[in-house]
Amino acid sequence: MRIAIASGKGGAGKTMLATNLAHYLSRQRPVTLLDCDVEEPNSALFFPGEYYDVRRVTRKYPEWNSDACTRCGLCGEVCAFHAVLPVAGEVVVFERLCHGCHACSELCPTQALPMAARGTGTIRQAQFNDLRVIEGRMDVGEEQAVPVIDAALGEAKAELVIIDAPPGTACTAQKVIETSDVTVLVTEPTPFGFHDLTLAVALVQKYGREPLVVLNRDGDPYGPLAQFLTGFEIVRIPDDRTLATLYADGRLAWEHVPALENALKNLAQRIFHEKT
Amino acid sequence: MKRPEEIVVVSGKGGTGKTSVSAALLYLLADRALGADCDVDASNFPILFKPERFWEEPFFGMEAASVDTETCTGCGRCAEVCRFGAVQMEHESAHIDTASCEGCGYCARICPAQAISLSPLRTGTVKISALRTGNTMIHGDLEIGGENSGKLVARIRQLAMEKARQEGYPLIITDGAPGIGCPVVSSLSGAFFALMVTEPTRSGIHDLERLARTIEGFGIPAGIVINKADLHDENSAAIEALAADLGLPVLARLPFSPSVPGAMKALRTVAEGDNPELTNLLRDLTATLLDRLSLEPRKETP
Amino acid sequence: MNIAFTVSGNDPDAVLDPRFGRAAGLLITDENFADHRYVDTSDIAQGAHGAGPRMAQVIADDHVNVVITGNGPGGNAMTILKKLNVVIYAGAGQFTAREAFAQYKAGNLREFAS
Repeated sequence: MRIAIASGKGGAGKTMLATNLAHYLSRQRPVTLLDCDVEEPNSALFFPGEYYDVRRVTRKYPEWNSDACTRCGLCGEVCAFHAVLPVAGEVVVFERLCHGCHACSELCPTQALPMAARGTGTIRQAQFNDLRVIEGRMDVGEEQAVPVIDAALGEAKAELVIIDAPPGTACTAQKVIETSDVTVLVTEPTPFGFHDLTLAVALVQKYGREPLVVLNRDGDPYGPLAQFLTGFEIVRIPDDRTLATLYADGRLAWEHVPALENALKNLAQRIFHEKT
Repeated sequence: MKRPEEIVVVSGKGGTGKTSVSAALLYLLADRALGADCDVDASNFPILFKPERFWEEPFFGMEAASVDTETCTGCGRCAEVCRFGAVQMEHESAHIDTASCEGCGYCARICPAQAISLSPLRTGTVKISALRTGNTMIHGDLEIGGENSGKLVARIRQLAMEKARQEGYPLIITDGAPGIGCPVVSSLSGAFFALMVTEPTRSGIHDLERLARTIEGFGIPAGIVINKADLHDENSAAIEALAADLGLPVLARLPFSPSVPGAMKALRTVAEGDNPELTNLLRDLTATLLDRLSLEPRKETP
Repeated sequence: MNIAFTVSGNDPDAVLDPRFGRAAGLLITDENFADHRYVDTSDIAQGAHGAGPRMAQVIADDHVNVVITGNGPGGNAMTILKKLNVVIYAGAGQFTAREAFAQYKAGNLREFAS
């Protein structure tokens, strides 16, 4: 079972919830926590330990062979992404602009652009008793997160996987939500939280599912959000200074904040449809 | 006329107060700044300004292939060359899954019957709105699950630059995209100044460092705002040390303030909340930024 | 010798566009600033990706030897510009093309490396 912890708005408490939920559940059964927020992966900060590289994520791109090249310029014409540019008697390849379609390479009349592999990110992991933490991390300077997310998703084969999803509702978040069985959306009672939640709910519903909603920093309500949430299954995590401080420290909070432990218990029951 | 300057507010990590700081700056500089919202996944920048849309256009992002099933001979060459699994052969004809198509055009190029063409996909909307503060904002929405927000970001910034010129704004305040990938690269290229908003959490420090390394490649001047600075003294000190290492100035240290959610719920910027200390610090920040840019208020165009 | 300025329009007395790839155009002149012509590159500026390298390609096509700009080109564009042996002067973003030319002649502009 794959459970995506997502949120339209960054900073709503996605990583806090994913790390604490995974740790809480691992007391009862084996759990994998998978960090798919590959641009800014933070889950591992909460589980310091010995991480080892599972593998490098690679992508294919063309490599120019000057001797074989006749300077016909077809490659530059073919590339829709301006990643291959014939200029000043040479062919320059911009690896980071390349989408890996192989068109230049396969259409080159003299095979002067063979495809080669290039690293764009790393998958690493560590084991803590019944909890395995797997992290996808995109290299700084790369622009395309989806291949690293795909690779990370491919590594999580356990029975129960908690995924720290990328924020937002674009292709990156979509990738994770579409492959998950349950989506938990984290929000907060502010106009920003409300606006972004409506987008995230629409994204989950696009896949014919209903999300579970966790209302973080619950306290003084925001009227329009409260109204929107009527009819949703909601779990509330109260606004709590101790929780905020422990999070800032990079520490798990549920064993120190009873209200969070309650919320996790409540959330787990809803995820697994357990009776109290 | 002098080209308008652009301050792009970025954060790497979400939830550090990027949009709150952008909104406060835009409010305090309403006499000379136009707003641009590049966080198109989560377009929150307009919310606090009672936007009244007076113009919009559909946004067409990347191209995608489509098949003329009449012309298609069902030879299957397209499905063979597609590296993205976007072509399926059904009923003697090719069919394109536009969600998987990357728009590379390889299939169209090799189709012996010339049955495949490329056309741009509508992936969002670009809008121009009048704000309650008397200035203007360019913003946009990405369709749910839409791709290529980098190009939408580029379009919003281009429109902002045009509008600023036409209407005589010397400054653009841009709420940048989150993360360090394609959309943030699009929000930053060619900007005058990058303002990084961070918070004193372990995650905040980690993300700030990755963002700073991303920005370094652009060679644009940058500065740091530490939001909720008093929430964790040790982590705030670590950010100051990191900033010194990176050679970046810390331009403001904003306190954690319960007035922030209150102001937001009333749909006001944090500069309009009931915490005068916070408002003054934000005023100081705008003064520091203006000092770097030496800008006059906007002259109303007749 | 050809000198190119990154500009936002065809006007030697307007302030430069400090950006390289996403400048609206290039103003190309000789070593005396005697004559100038304008190359519109707004289609490149509006593209999603690859603006820097495509601008560098225009520099190659127009046989430019010196580029005077504001921020300095990004890594992708520099890869090509280096191959072309084009000399880049950055930090002229606040000048008009005419002023920037005078600064260049007086040796006040810094050569952009990396």
